[in-house]
Order: sequence, then C-alpha cells, then structure tokens
Amino acid sequence: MKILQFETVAAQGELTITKLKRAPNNIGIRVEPVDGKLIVGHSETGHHHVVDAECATLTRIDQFTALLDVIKMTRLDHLRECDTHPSIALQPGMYEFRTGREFDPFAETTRASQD
Amino acid sequence: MFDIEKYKAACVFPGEIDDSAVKIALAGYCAALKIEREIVRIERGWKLSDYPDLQRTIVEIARAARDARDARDALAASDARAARAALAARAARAALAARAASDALAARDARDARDARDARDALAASDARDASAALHRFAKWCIARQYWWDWDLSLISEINAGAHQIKENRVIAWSDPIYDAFLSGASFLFWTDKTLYWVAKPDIKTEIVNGSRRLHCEDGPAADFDSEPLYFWHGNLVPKHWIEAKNDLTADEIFKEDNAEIRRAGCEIIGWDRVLSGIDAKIVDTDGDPMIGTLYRGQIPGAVECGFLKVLCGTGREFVIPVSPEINTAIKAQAWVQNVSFEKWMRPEVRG
Repeated sequence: MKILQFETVAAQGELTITKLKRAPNNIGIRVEPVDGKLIVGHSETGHHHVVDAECATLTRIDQFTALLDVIKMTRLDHLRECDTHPSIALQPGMYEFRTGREFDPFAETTRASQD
Repeated sequence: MFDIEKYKAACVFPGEIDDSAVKIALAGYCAALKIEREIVRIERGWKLSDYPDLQRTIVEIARAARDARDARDALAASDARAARAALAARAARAALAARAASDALAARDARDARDARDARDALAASDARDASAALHRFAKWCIARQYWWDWDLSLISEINAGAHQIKENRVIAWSDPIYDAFLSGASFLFWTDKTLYWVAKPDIKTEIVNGSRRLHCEDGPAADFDSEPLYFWHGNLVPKHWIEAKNDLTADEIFKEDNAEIRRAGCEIIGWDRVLSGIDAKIVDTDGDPMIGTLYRGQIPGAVECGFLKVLCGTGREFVIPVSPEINTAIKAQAWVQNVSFEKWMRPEVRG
C-alpha cells in the first residue's frame, strides 16, 4: 500500500493537514473514537478519513477545524474500497486538520464540503 | 447441507428464481422459528395497495420484524458467523454479485435522512396522490433498510456454513431453510406480523476497479431489485432520472445536490463541458497545476453568480467546487476552499 510522506502540509480529499510547530493551549472538544478509529473527516456516505485511536487524540474546534495530537507514528486512512485517497503517514506531533468548504450559490452561504 | 460451490454459484446474481422453492424454504424457516407467516414475493412494479399487510406495516413500522429477530439465537449465530467455513463463504461472496447487491442497499440506507422525510410528507400531504407517492417511497426505503444486513440471505447463509462446521444444531435448524431460499433465488426478506415478504435476486451491473466490483451502469439500474431499481454511477447512488433521462438533466439540478460525490457523478453523467457551458461559465484563470485547477465564473439559474473551481483530486478524478464570487484566481480559490487567507495558504507537498 502506498503511504505518502510530508513535512508540513498535505491534503487528502477535502482535508488539509498542517503540522504545527507549537501545540495550542487547551481548546476544542475531545472527540471519542468509533470502533477504535478517530474520525478526522466525516463522510455522510461512510467514507470517513480516520486515524488509529491508540496512536492519537483528537479535539474539534469548529465544524471546519480539528487538532490531532499524534503520540505514536500512524497514518491517515480513507475508508473506501474504490477511488480511495492514498494514506498519509503521520509522525508524532500536533496537526491541524481543516475540512474544505464550498460556496452555496442558492443560499449565498458557505458550507463544509461533503463526500 | 451447506455446499460452498453451490453457494458461490448462488452468489452470481440473478441466477434462476424458483418461486415455489423459495416459498417452501421460507415456510420451513418460519416453522423453525415456530411462527406463522404467509410467504409473499414482492413483484416488479408493485404498488402498496397490492400488499395491504405491507401497507399497514409501513405505517406501524417494523414492530413485527423485531419480534421475529428475537426468535433467533443471536449468540449462537454469532459463533457460527465467526467459524472458518463461514469466513470461506464470506470470501467467496465478496468476489461475486451478492456483495455488490449488499453495497447497493447499504448506499440506499445511507440516504435515510432524505427518504425518511417522505414519511413526514406522506402524513402532511393534503393531496391524496402526493401522500400515496410519498408513502410508497418511504415503503421502498423501509424494505431496503431491513435488508442491510439482518435479512440479507447471502449473509445469513454464511452463518449456515459456520453452523454446520461447528455443529450448532439450533442455528442449523433455522439457517438451513434460509440457505435453501438463497439458492432458490431469494435475495432478502421483509417481515410483517402476518407476512414474510421476499425479494428476488436483482440483476447487478458492476465495473471492476482495482480488483473490486463497483456498482455502475450508464443506461439503467445497476442493482435492479424488484422492490426498487437502484441507479449507480461509478459507485455513487444517483436518482433514477439522472440515468434514465440524462438528456433532460440540467446543471442547476445537479448543483442543488448537497453531496459533492453525487454532484460530481451528475456532472460526469452530462459531462463537465455541458455543465459549465450549461451555465455559460467563462474561464477566469488557469493554473499550471491541475491540482490547483481552473477557475470559471458562471450563474446557475435561481442562484447568484459565483466561481467554479475545476480541480483534479488525489484519486485522479475531476471535481467542480463552487467558490465565493469575489475569488479571481484558481490559487486563491484553493486558499478560500481551505478557509485560510491567501497569504497564509501553503501548497500541499502531497495530495492523497
């Protein structure tokens, strides 16, 4: 299986991952794992972007932003059998995950990207 | 007695549908559960009014199914499901149409929020015809929802394989008839307190991608259940008329769809050029990197003018993402999509 490596910024589908130099102070709400996985990027069709819960903790700041504290080397996986986004290696450290947004020209608002 | 070769043959859908054999097998299943039900096939082109018991049950949803489920010995079934023979059957099933049929109904289930609205519509509709149509749509959803995974006969037949291996007679007693019904052409069941409805195996259309089957058909249903034909475009469940009347499908209808994957499917169905030309979109800026993309500007009828970023994703597929009207370059559109200022935006080193 191909696992992509990066230093500072990577993308997986609608998610952008940025490795932070400094961990922010206690902010956000702790996200509990589901079936041993932390859902970093939620998909209404079940094609979540996930990390092994034994390797990291996740806090959500708002609907677009979450922080992942990786304690043990792991990877970001996309749960889809076809058209799967390649996995991305995550070294220990603090990461910011941003979910993409899009414009809704009917409602004239922005909304989180859905896949 | 479970036979893996017969099971594998039965996993190639639709195969032969033997109505009377299914009826006999399911009657045996009910007898094993010590319950009485009339066995009725849901026929293609069905109407709720043809099935009064189903109609009543849809209104009092699934109470009887819960009773029937209680009749199964869940723990013993769980043991049998984990047995090696069951796993072998599961592996065989994974490569065949039976698995794709399950995927089809799982996708159907994922759209539950939208279809559950049909139930409210049915109750709220003042026009009798509207109410009937909404109730019928809700009934189709209820039937499909029962399928995954409790009453999917290809899955329950795996339990039968394991039960024989570990000689779990309580489970064999009820799972043998299920296995027979599956071999005779039944795909899944829907319970009421008077009737056990069954749906025949559908014709399944798939494409092979990276060694896996993916539901896809360009000119008809990819999972043609008698209960409800389901339409898929490269693995994405799409509305029937997007396939059956694709020439009438318009860009504005596609862009009303909230889900980007399904919107992308719609755009692929009619073609990106038709989408963007359909809204008279003009190129504003093209980046040299296709993963940064090309920015168009256009106006969907009934909506405000805005940008459309046509971009290649890490899986090699193209998407069109609507972006805010003030965006004037593709790279600024990338920053906007990521909700960071252009000054702080950094180009990803890798794209998964």
